[in-house]
Amino acid sequence: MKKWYEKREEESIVISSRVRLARNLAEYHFAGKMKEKECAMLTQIVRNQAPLLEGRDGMKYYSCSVNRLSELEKASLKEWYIISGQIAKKPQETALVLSEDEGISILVNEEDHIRIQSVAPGADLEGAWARANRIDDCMEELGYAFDGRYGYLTTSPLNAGTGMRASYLTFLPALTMTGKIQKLADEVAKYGFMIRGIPGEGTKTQGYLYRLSNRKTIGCTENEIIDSLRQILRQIVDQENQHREYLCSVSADEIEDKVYRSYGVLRYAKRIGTEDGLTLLAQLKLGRDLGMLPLKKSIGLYEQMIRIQPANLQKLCGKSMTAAERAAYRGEYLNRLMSGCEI
Amino acid sequence: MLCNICKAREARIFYTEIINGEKKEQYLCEECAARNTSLRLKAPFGGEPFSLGGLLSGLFEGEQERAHGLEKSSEAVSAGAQPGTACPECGMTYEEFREHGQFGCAACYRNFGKLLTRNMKNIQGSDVHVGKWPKNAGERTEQPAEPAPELSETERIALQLDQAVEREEYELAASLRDRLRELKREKEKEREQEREREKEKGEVSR
Repeated sequence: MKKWYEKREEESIVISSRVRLARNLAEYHFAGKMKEKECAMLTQIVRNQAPLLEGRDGMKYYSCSVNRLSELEKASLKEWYIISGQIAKKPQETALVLSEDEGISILVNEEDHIRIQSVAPGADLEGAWARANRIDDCMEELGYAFDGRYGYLTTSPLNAGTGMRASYLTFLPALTMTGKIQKLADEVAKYGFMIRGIPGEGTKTQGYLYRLSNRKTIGCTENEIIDSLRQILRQIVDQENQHREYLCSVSADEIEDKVYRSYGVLRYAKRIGTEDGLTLLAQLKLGRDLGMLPLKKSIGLYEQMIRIQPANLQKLCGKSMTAAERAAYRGEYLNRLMSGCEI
Repeated sequence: MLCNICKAREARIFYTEIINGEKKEQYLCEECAARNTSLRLKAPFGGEPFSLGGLLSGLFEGEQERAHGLEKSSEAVSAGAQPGTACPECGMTYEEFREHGQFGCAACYRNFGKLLTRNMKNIQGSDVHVGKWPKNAGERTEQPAEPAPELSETERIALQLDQAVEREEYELAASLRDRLRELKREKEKEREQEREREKEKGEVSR
């Protein structure tokens, strides 16, 4: 079965849409106060729901104990944004329930008892929410901690209410190059939303990738959160397109040069670091989106930026490698990738 | 401009303090402002936005004097102080919550309810859930299941103080702070009188 990111060609600006729901069970203490026995019981009862999910979602579900995975496996799942750094570090019994297309991942006993993550390709928060909602319906049979006033009770009161974080992953090279991201971030912050660089800190990023998400979780419905995000997204997409046109009108030669240089390095360089690889791939995507680089097929920036991360490279190679060995192997991998999508 | 305290980092905050009508102005960096003033800094944009340790618990500072909605552990009651208050269900103490910004169980929401309501409104703009309702959670209520307790005058002023600080209206904040102190003094006086009356009663009955 195809993974969610392989289901259709990557869009030019909106890479993916994601919904995360934080839930807790009424019968158990929250994560910070749980005893070992409780952790084991909790992970078991949530994993037992997997067959039910298969029926409702129409695909296979797998589950595992996250705390029993090797460090490399954990690092790889973290690079794919399937598990969080927080759950990877937890020594207590934790679990992951994952759908075959990796569009649904459920973390058990992270900060909250249950964290449902639903990802869909492109600008489709409605689809991601509909699927998360279906999974949530199955899980609520376990007896959620819920209150008529505060809604879904979460470990951190800042997630209470809907317990929902919805976000779009966007590719904004023109707004980055023209220095508009911080201003945009300040602007959306006024409305209770935020923009963060991925991967990176604050609004810094290496691949022009940003996540736009809601801050507010209570006092509005799930659909209201999604509607507001969609409206903000529409404006950001318009602005990105306008800035792309502007960049092409004033410095097309410069961008084209950058794009072809990136192609040259990716196609022939023998050693490529993670950050460099990501930046080069992002420039290649921009070149193709602007029609400057007639690549026969999309490179799938999201997928490739993860495949060239340290843990996934080592998994692919089947052995542990030093940073220098990884750079050489990454070079080889990217050379091959480029030869596969020849101009 | 460099920070007036550390003289090393760039000053980003203009801090005005008014004590007994005397105005003191300083240019500070974020670190020194956090360390040396009562100014509550917002989590920096893009920082860990949901780390309550940095945000919500910051707003909870100074709550010791005005927290009345908390269940008190026996030690806390005997000590007559808010630090040490704990959730009877999971044992989560007020200090623990302030440090990590996380609750220990569903009951904490009720036991820390009064504090929560006030601060949740400050941060999220609302404290009433209107979204999805689980099927097994009973009928959706028109009104919040348990309305937030009415705020006392002290709490109402404390809330206004928070908002004034947020809006950087320091003169108003200073007068609100003075009013809070006055209320506190009045309350202490009342308590003192109460104790004396009790004492007198005891002596008479003897």
